[in-house]
Amino acid sequence: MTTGQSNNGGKHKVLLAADAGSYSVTTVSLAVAMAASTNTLLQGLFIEDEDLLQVTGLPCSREITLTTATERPLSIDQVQRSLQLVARQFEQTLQREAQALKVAWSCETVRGRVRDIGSMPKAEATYTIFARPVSNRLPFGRIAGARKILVLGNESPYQQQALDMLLRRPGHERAELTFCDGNREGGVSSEESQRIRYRDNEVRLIELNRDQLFARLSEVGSAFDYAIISRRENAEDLWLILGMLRCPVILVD
Amino acid sequence: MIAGGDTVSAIGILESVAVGGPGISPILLIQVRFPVGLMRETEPMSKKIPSLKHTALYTTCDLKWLDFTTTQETEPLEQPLGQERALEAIEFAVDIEQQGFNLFVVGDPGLGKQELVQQILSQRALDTDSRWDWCYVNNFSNPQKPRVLRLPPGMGQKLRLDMESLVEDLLTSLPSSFQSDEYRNRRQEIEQELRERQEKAFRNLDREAEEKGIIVIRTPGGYTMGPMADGKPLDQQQFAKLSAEERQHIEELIAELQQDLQAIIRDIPLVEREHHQRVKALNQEITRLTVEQLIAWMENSYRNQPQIMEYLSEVKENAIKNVDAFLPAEGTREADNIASRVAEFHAYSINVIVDNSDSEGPAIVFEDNPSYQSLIGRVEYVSQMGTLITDFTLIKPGALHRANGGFLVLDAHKLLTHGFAWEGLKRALKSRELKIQSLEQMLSLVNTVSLEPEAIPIDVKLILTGEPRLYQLLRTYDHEFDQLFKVSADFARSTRRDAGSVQQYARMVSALQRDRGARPLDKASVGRVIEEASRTAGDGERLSLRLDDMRDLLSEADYWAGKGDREVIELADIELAIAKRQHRQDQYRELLQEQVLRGIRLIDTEGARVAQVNALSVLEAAGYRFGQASRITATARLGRSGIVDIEREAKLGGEIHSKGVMILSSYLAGRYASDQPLPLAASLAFEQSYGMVDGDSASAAELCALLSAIGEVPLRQSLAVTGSINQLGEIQAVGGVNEKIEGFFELCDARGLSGDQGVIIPAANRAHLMLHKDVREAVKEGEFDVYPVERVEEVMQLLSGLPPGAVNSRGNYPRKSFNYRIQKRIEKLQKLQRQVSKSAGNKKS
Repeated sequence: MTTGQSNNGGKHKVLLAADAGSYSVTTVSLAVAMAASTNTLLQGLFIEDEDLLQVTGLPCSREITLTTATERPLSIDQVQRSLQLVARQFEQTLQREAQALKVAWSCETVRGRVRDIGSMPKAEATYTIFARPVSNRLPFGRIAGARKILVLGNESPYQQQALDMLLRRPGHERAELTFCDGNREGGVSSEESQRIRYRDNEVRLIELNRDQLFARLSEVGSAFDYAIISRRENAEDLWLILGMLRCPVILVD
Repeated sequence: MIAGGDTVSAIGILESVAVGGPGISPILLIQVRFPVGLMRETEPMSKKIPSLKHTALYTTCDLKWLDFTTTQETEPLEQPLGQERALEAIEFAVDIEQQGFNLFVVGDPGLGKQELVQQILSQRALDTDSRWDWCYVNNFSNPQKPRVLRLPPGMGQKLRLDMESLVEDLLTSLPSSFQSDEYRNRRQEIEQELRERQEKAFRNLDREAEEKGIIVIRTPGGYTMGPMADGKPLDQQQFAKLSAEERQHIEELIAELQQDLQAIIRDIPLVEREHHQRVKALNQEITRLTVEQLIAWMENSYRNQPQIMEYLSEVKENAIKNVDAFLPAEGTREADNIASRVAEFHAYSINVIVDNSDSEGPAIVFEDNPSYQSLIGRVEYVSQMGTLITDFTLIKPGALHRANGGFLVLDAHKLLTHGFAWEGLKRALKSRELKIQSLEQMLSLVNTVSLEPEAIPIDVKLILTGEPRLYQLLRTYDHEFDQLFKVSADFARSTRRDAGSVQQYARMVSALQRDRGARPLDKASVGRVIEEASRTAGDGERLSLRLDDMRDLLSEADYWAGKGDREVIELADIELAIAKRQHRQDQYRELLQEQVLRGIRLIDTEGARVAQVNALSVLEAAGYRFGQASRITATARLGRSGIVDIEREAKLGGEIHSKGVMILSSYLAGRYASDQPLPLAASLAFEQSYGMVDGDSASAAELCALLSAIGEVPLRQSLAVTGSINQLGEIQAVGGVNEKIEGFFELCDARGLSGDQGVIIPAANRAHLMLHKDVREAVKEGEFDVYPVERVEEVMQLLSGLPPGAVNSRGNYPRKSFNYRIQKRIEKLQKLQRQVSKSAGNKKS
C-alpha cells in the first residue's frame, strides 16, 4: 500500500475502484476532484480481475487485441505483468492528480472482482467511484454537448454533494440531469424535461422511471457521462446497471 | 604679328639651297622662306607689352541695377535662373505619356536639379486617376504565389480592416454556432448513433456468448474468452474435468465468437471514419451558414471590385474548410483573447504595400537609397524555431511600387553604385511590370523555396539626375539607355551676367534667403554675392548657378550677422563668410607655401635663370581650389630624340599634358627648323612634382623653358606663366586663372613684393578675371602685374626682356632678339650634326 500525505483520519473517504479494463485518467481526475471538494482521503483500489486470471490459465485462452483485432496467446505471467504495469500507471496517475489538488491519498492493489467491491472491508467509503470501460475507441468530438449525469436513488446529502462537485467542474456549465428515483411511485409516465438554472449551470432536467432507464441503458450504455447512484440500491439492480453503464459511477451513501 | 589662328606658317615658298664645303657632299636642304611683306606684318614686333589695370582684374557688380534696400523688398524668384532649357525639357518629359520618355537631368552637383524637378512635379495638376492601392493577399490554392489586388485609393486599408473584423466575427460567431443547441444535438445524434451501433455489436456478442456458456472478459490490451458456469469462469480443474468432446465444443464456440469479435473490432476504424466524415460535414454545414452570413455584407460592399469578390469567395471556402482553426482550444474560453487570436490568421490578412488613402496627385517618390531591394521590393523572413520562414505578409514594397502611376526620382550615381539596382530598374521599365525577386534568386545562388509574388504592372516615369560625365558614359556603354531615356534636361552651370540676370539673381538670393529663414541682405551684400557667383563661375561675365554654394554662403553670412547682432546681412558679413570659409580650408595651401618659403620646394620669384620657368597650376583639396607655382625646367643638346616629356615617360603625365608637349614640339620644329632637320634632344620636367600632371595650361611655360634652353636665354623668375599654346604659337585660354594668379601673388607677397613680379596669362582669359582684393590693390600700387598675351613671342619677350625680332629677307633675326639666339643655337646643332654624320660616314667607308 502506498500513501501520499497524511491521512486526515476522516470517516468520509473517497474510494476509486478500477481494474485494467476500466482505468482511465478521466476517472482518476474525477475521484481526486471529489476528494478535494469533500476534503476527504482518496483511496485508490486497483483490482486485479480474478476472472481474467482464471480464464488465462485455461488452454483455450487467447487475447484478441483491441487495436489490431489480431489473436495472440495469453499466459498467466504475461497477464500479471500487464496488470502490474496498469496498476503502476494507475498509482502514478493518482499520485500526480492528487498532488496537484493537495489531496491526501493512498493506493492499493487487490485481487478480486469489481462487482464484489461492495463486500470488501477495505472498500468502505462515503463515495465509491467505479471506473467503467468507456465505449472502446470511439472518438469524442472537441465540442462536447451538455454533460449528461444520471442520478439514481433517493437524494442524500452525499448525493447532492457529488452532484455539486460535478456541476462545478470546468466545461460542465451545461448539464443534462436524468433523475430516476426508485421510491417514486411509478415514476413518470413518459420522459419529461424542463430547463432550470441550477446554481450557475444551465440544466435540463429529465425524469425517467426504472423501465425507461433500463430501456435507455440497453440501447446505449454511454448515454451518460457520469452516474451518481445510491448505495442503497438493490444489489442485483445495482450490478445490472453498473454492467450497462459506460461512464464513471459515483456510488454514495 | 600672327593672330587669330592665321595659316601664315603654312604658306611659304619652298626653295632649295646647296650647303657644304670642300670635300663635303652637297646636302639638299628644304627651307621655308616667308614673303617679306607678309612676315613684317605678322611677326611679333618689339614693343612694350602692357599689363592690365587693376580695374580690369575684377568685374564689380553695378549696384544701380539693384532697386532695393534689402532683399526683403524684392519678390523672390520662383523659376530657376538660367535653366530655361532644362525647365522646358523637364516639363516635356513629365507631360509626354509615351513609353521610354523617361528623363535624365544632366548637370553638375549643386545646381538644384532635384529641387527643380520636385517643384515642377508638385505643380502638376492633381491627377489622382493614376493612383491605386496595391495589396498582396494569400493565394489559397498556392500560398507560394501570393496574389495581388489593384484597388482604388484608400480601399486597401478599408479591406484590411474589414478582413480583420471578419476574422474577429468568425472567431466570435463560429464558436457560438458550434455551441448552439441545434449543433450540439445534431452532433450528439451522430455520436450516439455510432456508439449505439458499436455497443450493440458488443452487447450482442456478450449475449450470444453468455447463451453459449462463454464469458467475454476485458484484458489490459483487448478481450479474452473462456467457458463459464453459474456466471463464473471455469478454473483449470473444472476445465480439466470436461470431456474431450466438451473441450472441443468450447474451442469451437470460442473460435466462432472470436471471429465475430474480430469483425466488430475491425469495424471500429470504419465507424471512426464515418464519425469523422459526418461530423466534418455537419461542421461545414454550420460553418457555411455562418461564414456566408458574415461575408455577405462584405460582398455587398465590394460588389464593384471583381478581384475582391473572387478573393472573398476563396476566403469563404477556405474558412469553411478550416473551421477548426476558429474554434477555441479545449479548456479555453472562447471569448478570451480574440483580439490576439486575430493575429494568428495570417492567411486572411491584407498586406497593403501601397496605400494611397491620404495621397493627392500623382505619386512623386524620391528614393535616397536606390538599392536593388529598396527599388524592387523584397520578401522578408522571420526566424521560427531556428528556421527562416516567410509568407505574403512579409512582402515589402520598393520605391517602384510607391511611385507606380507617378514619378520616381533617383540620383544616377547612387543608383549605379548599388549592385544590380540599375539592371533591376531597367528590367522593370522595359517589361512594365514589377516582379519581386531576391538577388539570390535572380542570380540563382539559392534553391530554397521562397515566395513568387504575382507581378504588378507598373507605369512609372523615371527621372534620373546625374553629372554630365555619367550621362555620357551611360549613353556610350549602355545600349538600352537611349531607348529608356529619350529626354535629357541639361542644367546650365552658369548664366550670362547682365543687368537682367543680375536683377534675377538678386531675386534668387532673396528666395534662398527666405527659404533658409536667414536675415535679409542689403544691396551691397547682394552685389558682393553676385560678384562671388562670378568668381565661382570663373568668369567675370557669367554667374554661377550652383545653388548649394550660394545657400552655404548665405547661411554662413547669416551666422556672422547674428554674431554681430545685425538685423540685416551686410557686405562685411559676406566678406567675413568668404574669408572664414577660405581660412578654414586654407591649411594645405599654407603648408605648400611654407615649404616654398623655407626653400624645400624650389620656386624663384626674382632673378633670371636659363631653361627655368614658373608655371602655374590649380590644386583642389576637399573642394577648395587654389593656385600654386611649379618650376618647369628644360634641357637641350645635340641629338635626335626630339623632346622628351619626363612626366609622360614616368607615367605621371596625363594625356592632355602629353598632347600639349607634342604641340609645342610641333611648334618648335615648324617655327625654327622648317627647312632643316632639328638635331635636338631636349627634355621637359615639372620639378618636385610627385603626382599626376595633366592639362595643357603649362604648355606655354614649357615652350618658353625649352626655347630658353635652346637659345640659352635667361628668363625672369619674377614672372609666372599660364596658358596653353597651339601649333601656331598662339596662347589659348586656360581654366582656374584667378586661383593661379592669386597663388603666385601670395607667394610673392609673402616674400615681399618687388614691383617686378607678375603673372602672364592668355589674353582670352581677361574676361575671367575676378581677382582677390589684395591682388587688385597690389596691381593698383604697381607692385604686381598681370600681363595678357596672345602669342608665345610675347611671353618670351616678357620673360627674357628681349624682343622676338623680325626675320629679315635672308631669314635671320636681329642680333638682340631672343629668336636670334635660338636660331643660332639650332644652326650650331645642325652643323654639329652634319659633322657627326660625316665622321660616321667616313668610318663606315
